[in-house]
Amino acid sequence: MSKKSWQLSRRAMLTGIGATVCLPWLEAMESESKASDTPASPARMAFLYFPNGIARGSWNPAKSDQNGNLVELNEWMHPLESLKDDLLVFKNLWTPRGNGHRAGTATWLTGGEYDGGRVSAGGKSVDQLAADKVGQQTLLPSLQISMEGEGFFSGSLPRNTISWTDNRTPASREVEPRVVFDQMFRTSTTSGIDKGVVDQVREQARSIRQQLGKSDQRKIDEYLDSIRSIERRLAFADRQAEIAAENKLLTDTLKRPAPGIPTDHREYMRLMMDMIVLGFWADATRISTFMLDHGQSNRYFNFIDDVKGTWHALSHYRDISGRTEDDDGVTSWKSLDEKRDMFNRVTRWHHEQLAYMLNRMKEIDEGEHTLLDNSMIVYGSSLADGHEHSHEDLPVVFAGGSNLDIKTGRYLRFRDDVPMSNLYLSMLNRMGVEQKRFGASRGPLDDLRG
Amino acid sequence: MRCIYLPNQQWFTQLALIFLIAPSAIYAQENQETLTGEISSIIQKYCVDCHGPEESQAQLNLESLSRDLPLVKHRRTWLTIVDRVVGGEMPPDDAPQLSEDERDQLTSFLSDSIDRFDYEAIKNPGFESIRRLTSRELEFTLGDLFGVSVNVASKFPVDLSGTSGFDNSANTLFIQPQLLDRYISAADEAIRVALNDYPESAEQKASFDRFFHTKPKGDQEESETASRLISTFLPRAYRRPVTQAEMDTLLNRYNKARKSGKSFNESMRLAVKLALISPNFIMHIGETPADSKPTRVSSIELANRLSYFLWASMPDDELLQLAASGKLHDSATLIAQVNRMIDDPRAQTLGTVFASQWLGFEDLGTRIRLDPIDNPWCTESLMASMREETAMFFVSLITDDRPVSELISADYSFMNEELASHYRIEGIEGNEMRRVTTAESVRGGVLSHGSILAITSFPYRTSPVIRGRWILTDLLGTPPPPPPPGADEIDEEIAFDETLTAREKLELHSDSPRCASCHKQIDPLGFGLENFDFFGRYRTRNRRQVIDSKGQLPNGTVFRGIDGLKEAIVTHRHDDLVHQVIRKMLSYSLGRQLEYYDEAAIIRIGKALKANEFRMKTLIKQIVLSYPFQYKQHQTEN
Repeated sequence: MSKKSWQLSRRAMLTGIGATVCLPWLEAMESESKASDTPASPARMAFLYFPNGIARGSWNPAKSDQNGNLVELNEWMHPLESLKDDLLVFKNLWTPRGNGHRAGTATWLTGGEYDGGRVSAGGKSVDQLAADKVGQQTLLPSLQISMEGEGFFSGSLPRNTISWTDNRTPASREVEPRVVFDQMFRTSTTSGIDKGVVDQVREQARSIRQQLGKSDQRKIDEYLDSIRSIERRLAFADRQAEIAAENKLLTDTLKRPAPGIPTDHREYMRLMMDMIVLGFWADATRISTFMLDHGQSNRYFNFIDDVKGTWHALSHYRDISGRTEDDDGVTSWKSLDEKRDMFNRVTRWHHEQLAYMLNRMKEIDEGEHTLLDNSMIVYGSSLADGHEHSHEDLPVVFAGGSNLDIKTGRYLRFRDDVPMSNLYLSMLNRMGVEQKRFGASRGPLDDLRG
Repeated sequence: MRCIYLPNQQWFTQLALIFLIAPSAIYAQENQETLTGEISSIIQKYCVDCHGPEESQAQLNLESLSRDLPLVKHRRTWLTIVDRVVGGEMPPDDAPQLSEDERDQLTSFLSDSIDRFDYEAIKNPGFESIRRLTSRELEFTLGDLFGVSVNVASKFPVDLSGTSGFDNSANTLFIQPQLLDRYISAADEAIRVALNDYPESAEQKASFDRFFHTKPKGDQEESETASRLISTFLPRAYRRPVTQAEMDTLLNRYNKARKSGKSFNESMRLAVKLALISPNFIMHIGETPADSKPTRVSSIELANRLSYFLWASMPDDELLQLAASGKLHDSATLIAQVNRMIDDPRAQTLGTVFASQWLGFEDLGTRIRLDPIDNPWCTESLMASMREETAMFFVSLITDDRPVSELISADYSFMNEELASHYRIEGIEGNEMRRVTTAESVRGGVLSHGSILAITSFPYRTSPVIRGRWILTDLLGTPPPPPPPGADEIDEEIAFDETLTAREKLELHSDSPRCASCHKQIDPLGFGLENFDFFGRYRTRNRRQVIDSKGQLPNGTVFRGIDGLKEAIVTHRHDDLVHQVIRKMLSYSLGRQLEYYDEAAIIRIGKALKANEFRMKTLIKQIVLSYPFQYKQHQTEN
């Protein structure tokens, strides 16, 4: 852990508005003790989704050398500059079977084809496949979180779901930091249910199941799965308590967030990111997805200097009239450049939050390596250029994984379009899921090794 | 320019004819079994390259679609295809074109298969899959079970909705681990408020006394009391007669707790909790038919269907008793029950749960709201009153047995002081919502309700497109065809021209051939509502320009303003309105999306409505008496 990043993070905290719930991180930094005795650290994976795409040209690095090493990111990617050695910036990844706000969001992690009538994402998502394999070893097989939606489309299933347990079943997700925290760190008090009760309701469910037809049995199976997961949490409660007790640094850091949704958007997002970091650190889960907003977010980012209008309206940056169907009727822009800058500022703001999370992960020692080295983080959108609604050359940054046979610090530029599924397949393999195909993949992405 | 919406229009007229006059022209069903070789080969030759298994542009795979018979299963998709082919948009210019003969052959085959499909010949009541209670149903059910208000729904994540638009559709009601947590917490909360040894209110005390009513002394008496309490409680919680074994499960739980030293009350509470987290409580579980033939639902299942339809909650004791004695299947008894239930306050859910989802106004104040700092006038209470106006109005149409058309044409509404002053109507004082005659004002009918006008607007601007789309799609159930390929891109030249008003811009947009076909149907409807701003306030000018509220129905009827629009819809689109309210209410009552085979029931309900001046009570009764409500059948496919 470097002194520098510590100072950076403190400054970030001090400028933030509202309560800084996660201040204990600072104490953690000052502490002499190290998280020792951690058994061989497991691989983790997280997928961070943002909607509305980017403005063409704002993703490519300013400079890379002839070997593809990142030398300098562009001005809009600047918040990630100090982390560039831990990054892979991609050129020409895509999702050949669907893109955009609705289909693109729903299939971002499935590599499948979206079917609006049946609300099918065309397959199980990559995180849930990994959860099937390694999730049984942790308290939560996987953690799905999302920023609470705002405005139109907040109730639309496809725009609010990237994680699917099968092609038609969305994995449940949480939007409130405290609820997430409690699921991971207050297991004994939240479920309010004991082994005896679990056995009895399971018995009931099974006897009901016997009397049902096939399609209905599936519903009871969902219930039984849920019971099983509660049971597992009961079983894991002791182990989790042990892990926390042995790791003083972790124990000191655990602080229960206030109930509800923080009004400050930045504080809210960072708190949610803290939940991923804590979950990974405490080995409460190894897999997470995080929707930084729903697939067609109309959120206002007026709290960023020089930004006005909703995110989705800004994403159509070539139209400055303020009178399209995307606009709110009161905002308009003077020039295309002005509007594109605003759109880029919103994107850059999200990079800042990503940088926050990556720095946190970098500060956590796991023996020889850091938590970031043992994690594979995908950050990106299901649209390329937001105005054109294009789907080729999606904006994707990969972070971490240097202890997982991945050579970071590079600009990976593919000549032809490569499916995102290839990347996912390689990540699955590194999580210990042995399979040869996934979604639209043609094979693993061997370029990760360098 | 050719209006490619026409084929749809014709179809709607034909459908209206079918269900209002005399159906039953029997067309050969064999047509439906396979496509003839010629039709198949036309599709293979001209379409499948882009719309096939290899490449499915517009998410359309005609190879699998043409195998999914009868074709009416995908009625809308096929009709759109006919539109596109007739209109010359498909195949695209750079692809091989159909000969005139081939085009006629294909389109007339498709149109005939769909327009002349004999729905009456299908006997399929559909199947209500088991499903969990929605968070709202759970809250109402716990409330009625204990006779105390329980607040649990707000702790649930929002139930996202798919195609039906109702949160009670079985296909979107998943049970997930984190959700089961919520059901468990809800059970804890219900027990805390309803069976608390230290009640916090008179209501809580009454509920406690009702449940425990005696204080047993001694082992013998305690054990008898426990059995008795369970035998009263459990059939209500499971909403059906229960078996001895089911009661024993609870009794065992009680006994174990009591033996371990817990108090009598605490042991009973643990038994109750076991029931409240059982699938028997948290799910709707009907009986499974013995074979694959249509089977009449049992009277107990009928009671449940009825109460969750009209009350969004459990059947009360009267209903359960009638069901247990088997009398509910008697039509006269059933109708008497419907009448009783409609007059019960619980039937308010037809407004607050059904209509609010159908018409979309439940989103007001939650998903759709203004920034409270910039808009201090837009209070929570105002938005609540706006929602209440439409909910109360809808329920009053039922309780007063008004005709369906009054949904549009009413000359009364419901308001309190805050809402009335929002509407600039004087003389209404106090917070209480009450019925107000609006003959002298622009209000009356849902099209003038603030709730509807707000949810069909952008945050600070009206949108004729959204309003027009809402009228066509949500209110009338006749959505315009999906946008043609490439419609996403707005003509930049138009978009950049700052000299144009929004209306002019939209009109230009509608002039571009790609967009015109739909927007000519959509926008002019919305223009008729331009006198209402983005929050439903009346205005005659916008940005200093006098508002032009001239509008037009898709059939060409020109009208002016809200009164013209109301009259035009009631005169020219009455059949569509009736058809839509039947569909929506039937779907809600069945807890599932409708399928093509439900059309026969819709046609019959439509006929009965026509014979009874389209009265709302007739609608409800006909739904309750309808084949899909009274019967069920296992589906072979998923």
